[in-house]
Amino acid sequence: MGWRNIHRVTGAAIAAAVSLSACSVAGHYTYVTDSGDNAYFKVPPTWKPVDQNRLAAVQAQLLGGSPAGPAGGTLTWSRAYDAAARPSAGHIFAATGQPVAYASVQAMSVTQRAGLSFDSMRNLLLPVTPAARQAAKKAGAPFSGFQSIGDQVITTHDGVRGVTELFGYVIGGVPEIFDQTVLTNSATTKLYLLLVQCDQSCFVAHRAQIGTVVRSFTVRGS
Amino acid sequence: MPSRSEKRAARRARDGREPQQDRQAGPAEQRTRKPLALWDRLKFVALLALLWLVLVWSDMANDPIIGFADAVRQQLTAARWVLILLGAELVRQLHFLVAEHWPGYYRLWSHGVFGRADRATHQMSDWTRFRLSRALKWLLAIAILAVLLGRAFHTSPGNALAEAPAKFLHILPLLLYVIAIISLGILQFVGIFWFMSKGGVDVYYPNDITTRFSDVWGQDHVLERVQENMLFLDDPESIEEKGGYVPGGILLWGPPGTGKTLMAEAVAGETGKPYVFVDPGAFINMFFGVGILKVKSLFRRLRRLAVRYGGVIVFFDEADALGNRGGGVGQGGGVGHGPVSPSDACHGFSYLSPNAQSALMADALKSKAAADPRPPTRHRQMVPGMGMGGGGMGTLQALLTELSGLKKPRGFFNRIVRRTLGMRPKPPPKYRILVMMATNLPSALDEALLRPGRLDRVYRVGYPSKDGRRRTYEGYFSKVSNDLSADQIEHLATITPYATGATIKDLVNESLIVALRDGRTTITWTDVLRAKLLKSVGPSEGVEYIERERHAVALHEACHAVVSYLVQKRNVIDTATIQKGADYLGFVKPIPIEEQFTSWRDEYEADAMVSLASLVGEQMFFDGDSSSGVSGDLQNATTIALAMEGLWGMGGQYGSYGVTRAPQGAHPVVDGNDRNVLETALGRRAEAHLASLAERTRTLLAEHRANVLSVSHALELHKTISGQDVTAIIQGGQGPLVDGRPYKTPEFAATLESYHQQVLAAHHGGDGSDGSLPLPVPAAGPVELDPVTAMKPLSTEPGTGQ
Repeated sequence: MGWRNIHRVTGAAIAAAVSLSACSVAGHYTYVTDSGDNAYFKVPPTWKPVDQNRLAAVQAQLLGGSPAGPAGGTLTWSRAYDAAARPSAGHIFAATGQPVAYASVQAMSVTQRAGLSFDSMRNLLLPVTPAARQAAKKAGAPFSGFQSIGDQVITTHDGVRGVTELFGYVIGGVPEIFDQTVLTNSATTKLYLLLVQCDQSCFVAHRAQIGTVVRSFTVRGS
Repeated sequence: MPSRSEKRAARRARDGREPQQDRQAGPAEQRTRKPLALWDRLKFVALLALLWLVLVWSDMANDPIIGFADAVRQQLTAARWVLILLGAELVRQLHFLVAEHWPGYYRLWSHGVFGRADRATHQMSDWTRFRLSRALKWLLAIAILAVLLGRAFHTSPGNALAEAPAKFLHILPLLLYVIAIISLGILQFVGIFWFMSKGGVDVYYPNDITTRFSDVWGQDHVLERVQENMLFLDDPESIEEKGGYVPGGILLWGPPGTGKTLMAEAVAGETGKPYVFVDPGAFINMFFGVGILKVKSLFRRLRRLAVRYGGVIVFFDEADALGNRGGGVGQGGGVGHGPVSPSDACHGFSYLSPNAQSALMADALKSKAAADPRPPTRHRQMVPGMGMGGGGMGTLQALLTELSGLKKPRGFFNRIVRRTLGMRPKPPPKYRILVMMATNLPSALDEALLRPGRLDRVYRVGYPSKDGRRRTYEGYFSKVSNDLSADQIEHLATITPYATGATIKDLVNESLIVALRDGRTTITWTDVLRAKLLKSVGPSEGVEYIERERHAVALHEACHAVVSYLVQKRNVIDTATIQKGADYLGFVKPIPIEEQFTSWRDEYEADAMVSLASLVGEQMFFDGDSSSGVSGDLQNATTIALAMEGLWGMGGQYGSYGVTRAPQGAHPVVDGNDRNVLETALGRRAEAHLASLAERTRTLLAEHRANVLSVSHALELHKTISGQDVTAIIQGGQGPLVDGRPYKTPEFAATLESYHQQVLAAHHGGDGSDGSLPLPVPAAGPVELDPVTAMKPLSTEPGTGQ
């Protein structure tokens, strides 16, 4: 290769690199990471994060002002992403026309660990198992129209296990679909939750997107 | 008066910054930029690209759900700074590429942009530019720190900088804890080195030392110079006001025992300054660096003492222990030769004049070195890491630095804090430190030690003069009870030419022991002579010769003594003895009547005749027979004759063999390593010269046959006699030990001749004698002087039960 050729190659490389650096940097997904707890998932880039302070306020309202998580453990991390044009913490656990994803990690005490089961995971937010639904009915809970769409037990080679539950409830007269994944690590010290929800028509319309989000939810065993 | 522009131009010329047009006039100016090598062109691009890929890889490793494409996209945002740098580098390379091919572009940048910037910045002085650049660097460092802290604290860089002190205080206890742990480890070593760097240095304060100049005898010429130094130490302004400086150091060198240490002590005693004595072994150390610490610690102490007491004297005894880094001072030898004897024969060369002795000594040293299969001493001393067996390992260098560094600003506050505040460090106070060193091996000192400014003055403390010896004898004898007259002390000073303070002190003490052994407390002249004899001859081996051998040895020495008496006019015989020692059967020892520094042909001829007297005498008295005991005498005579003919111009030739050398660098005449030298013209002339001297000697001995037999008889009878006894025997007078008058009576002379004939017959074996012959005794025999008797133990006091 002659000196002139080397210069041509160099010039081409420089030009290519300049064009590469100038190209669009928009990504396909937003990757959400809790590296401290080894929890990962991704959401479409159109889903926007919910303000953390507002999220904390909603959690406190739902959980009675305590720092405890849905299972009674201590919340160590939580994030929410909303597909609505104006993301709001109020869309979580409410009927909405755009998908909302909520993830949390809570540390469990020894007592909580002893009482943890796949059923307790299923019933983490809403009563799903027949026993839980009957107990809720007896207690006068305002839930109706339960519909179980899918149930799958998850176990991985590094000791992570849990359940993923697809079910529907009628809330405020609107049929709402919940895709809930609850996992625990190999040491059963942490409880991981990913909940993606929206009303039925929304769910049908965004089935592919919601499926991608739920499938991406990964917990590394520790 | 020059204008501002002229001044600027002058400053530029001074700084080497000529105007641009001058530089353009150079013939070798480039039109385009020199092309870069491919690697130089791509290395930063490759490095940044690699860095970015590593970040992508790290992203993928940290997030198990992210793919390569998404990681790349993510890092396009997250690691944008790498891409910015990469883009900048690409632009730079593009700029270079254009400059390499387009002269106009290159000129625009090199002359138009950078040249202008250079010219603009060079309007400032170098110092201003340095300060400006330093300030910019500081600002950049602070900015980087702020960004890093901002990332670490998850806040803005400005807030991070504000929070930093509080955070630092927060981690301060932990930091101190870590420092304490580290310090604990370091302190162990510091402690060990501190302890090891102590010792070997003794400080004596003004009243501790009572030695005065009046205690130093016989070194007046050196003492005067040292006193001069003292005057400057006490009153430094007297020389500094006139533009001079106080000499900082003195080296005293000379043979052992000549009073070097005493002189240094006297200086300390007279000035009233502290006196720091540095032990010769202080700088022999086990670990690297301890010697350096010792030197630094020593000079710290010296500076403190100098400031407190207005001066200090430090004395390095046996300074040769400090070692050197190679070639020595080259002061010449002549000192400390050690027990080298030119010959193992009967009596060495003691009857020769001092200069002949020196020549023969040099000859003996070289012969000994040639015969020694080991490498030369100079090489043997090169012990690794010890530098001539001395301090070594940087100690000498540290000492040299400290000796030169007394005028530099010192102290942390003075040098660092004052400088930081923009003040000039204060010059140090004028430390009045007088460094004195003593050695008997000046050639082992490092040359740098003796340069002016370190040790300015080098004084030889030689053997004391006769007057000095007399005063020394008077000084030491004044401390003991004695009945010596002034004339006797004067005579004692004369007959002990190379006595030093130490040997004189020893002789006086030995005289006292001799007196005490005889039950007296007052030293007499006889005690002194006995002690001197004991010191010069040593104790006899107690070997008794058989009569005929005793007679032969006595005749041998008597020939030397009589010829010495007759021909060596500038020497007198000190002692003649036939007491067998370790490596001799007897000897005749002359001493110079006065100090002289040149030797003449007649003196060397006399020396050669005294040497030849033994062989000539033996041949004469033993009917042509002779013993092997003359070998050393012949060596001495031959060496003297060769040197006279070949080196000293005392033969028939002007040319000197001193300038001719054998191919290997050896000198055939001086070194005596040419075994054929006697077959050369030089050797034949020397032989002829020796033959004529032997003939003269034979004539002398024939004339003084009776005297030889008389001296021989006295030696046989007394074993050791003094030179005055030899004179008394030859002149028929009364000596201190031998009465010479009976020897002048014809009857006794005939008896001695008869006795000799009997011995001769026994020697030939003619009378069948077993060698036991009665020695004739004169009518009035003198008191025998026998060192064996002198060495007998002190008698114990009566009643002690011993």
